[in-house]
Amino acid sequence: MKLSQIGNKIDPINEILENFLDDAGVTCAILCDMGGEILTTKGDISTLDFTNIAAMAAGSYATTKGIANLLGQSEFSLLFHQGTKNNILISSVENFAIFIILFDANTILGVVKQKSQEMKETLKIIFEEIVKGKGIVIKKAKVFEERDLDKVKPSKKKPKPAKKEKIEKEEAEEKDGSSKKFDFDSLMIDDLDDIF
Amino acid sequence: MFKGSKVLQPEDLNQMNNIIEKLKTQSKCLVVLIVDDSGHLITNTESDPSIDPILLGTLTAGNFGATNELAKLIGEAEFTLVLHEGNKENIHMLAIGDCGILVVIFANTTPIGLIRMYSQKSVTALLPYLEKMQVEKKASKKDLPSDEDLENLFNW
Amino acid sequence: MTMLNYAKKEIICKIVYYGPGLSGKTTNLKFIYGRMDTQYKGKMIAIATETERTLFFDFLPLDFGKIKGFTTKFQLYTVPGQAIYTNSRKLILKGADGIVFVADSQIDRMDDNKSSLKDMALNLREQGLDIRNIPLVMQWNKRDLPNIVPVEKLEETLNFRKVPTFEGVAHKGIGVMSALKTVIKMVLNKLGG
Repeated sequence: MKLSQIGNKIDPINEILENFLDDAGVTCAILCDMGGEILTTKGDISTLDFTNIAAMAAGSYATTKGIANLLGQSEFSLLFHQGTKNNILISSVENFAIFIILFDANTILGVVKQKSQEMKETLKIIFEEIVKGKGIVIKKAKVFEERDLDKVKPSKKKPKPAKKEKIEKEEAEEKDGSSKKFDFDSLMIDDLDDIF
Repeated sequence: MFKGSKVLQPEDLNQMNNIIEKLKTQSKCLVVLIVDDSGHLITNTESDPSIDPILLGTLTAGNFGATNELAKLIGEAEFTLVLHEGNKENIHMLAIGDCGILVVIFANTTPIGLIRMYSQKSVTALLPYLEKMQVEKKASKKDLPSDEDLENLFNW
Repeated sequence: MTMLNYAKKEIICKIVYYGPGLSGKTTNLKFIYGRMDTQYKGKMIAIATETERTLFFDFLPLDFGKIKGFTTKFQLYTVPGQAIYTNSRKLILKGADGIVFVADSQIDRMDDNKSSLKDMALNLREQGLDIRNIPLVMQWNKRDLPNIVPVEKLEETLNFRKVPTFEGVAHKGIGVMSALKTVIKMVLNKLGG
């Protein structure tokens, strides 16, 4: 969900995050949209490059979604990374938002997990209210596009070669490469012409 | 010939396969993959044929890369434990030096302690083989363009 | 970095599509996916936001099959163009063997093209790669739009190395396969030399 869609509901969201910070005893929490754009932050982030953290966390989350897809499970609900001083936990509120929690070794992981689960539930209610109230349709971020891609299979017509000579005529003769001889020294450059 | 490429010899691949098969048996995990630092799949244990190991390799490499960047961003050299918890399966990833990644997928009923211990052992065993693949060293800093070089390159 | 696997008898190379946001990198990959015969392509992944902007990368594995006993594979990646994904762009460039720089020909995108090219130079350097010698081609995309920069101007401003360039209309496939083929040849030539 985009920040612009949240509007004044950002206040209760901030409150939820603040309560979570107190309850779980974590250093800071970042809430961003599925693409990694910051929605809000709470706690001490003064020393952090949180814009990049959120962008990277979104990438990390999206790839695990892809992995889950591949393995036939719905998602990896929780990503946990342990460092020497700092730990990080990434999770999502359905398809609405991603939250990133930073905490140090003094905080107990079990507590963070449990409290974040509770926070997730309350945030979910708010996001659902926004969606309902504004009639927003939240599209699922796609990882696999196979089906869409099959739809856009180009027509048999070859693209028109453009006027300038520089644009090479597109060749799409798809011959069976295996029947071609391959001289390893020539690094199959000649064979490429057949494949393309 | 083959400047700047990594070379994988059959006997080394065999050894690596032995290591990950042993890891699979000992730790009771489901799938093990070795991915190089460019995201190319080196090898994997046999698994469900419906799972495309190349895609899995690419996604895990991307994910591990993102995780490492995150570590740097919060002031950690690297994360000592990277764990993704799913509703059926978990993923544990470890760096093999700076040459590659070991990816272990296991059922969430399997104890993580077991997975960590055997994975760590495998990383130690795998490292020499991955280092050997690196026939050519990366360009040293002095060969790379300086800020000034780049400024001169684009004279905007 | 190219992997030459004597055990599986395969060569794997990595090609990265780089360029400013919305210049048409993903469109290039989608066209290639559509155009390639099934035997030459694997599954494509697009890691995108709900608004279909690339969030992390797109990936398309091409497999040119066994030719004289060696399977030659090219893995195509795109980087996310939006400014906030700078770390992701750096990551995707890791081990790149060749680059297709996709520039947006529109007049008001020239500054974005320039900063993307500079960003690429720096990110390549971070990965131990040199923009002055990595196999590179450039595509002047969106030639079908009004208000575009003349090709001569694009050449003068962006083509600092006089690499092969292609006028492109990626969604129609113009300049797509020729750019890919050329960069592949450059990568293979470099390997051989």
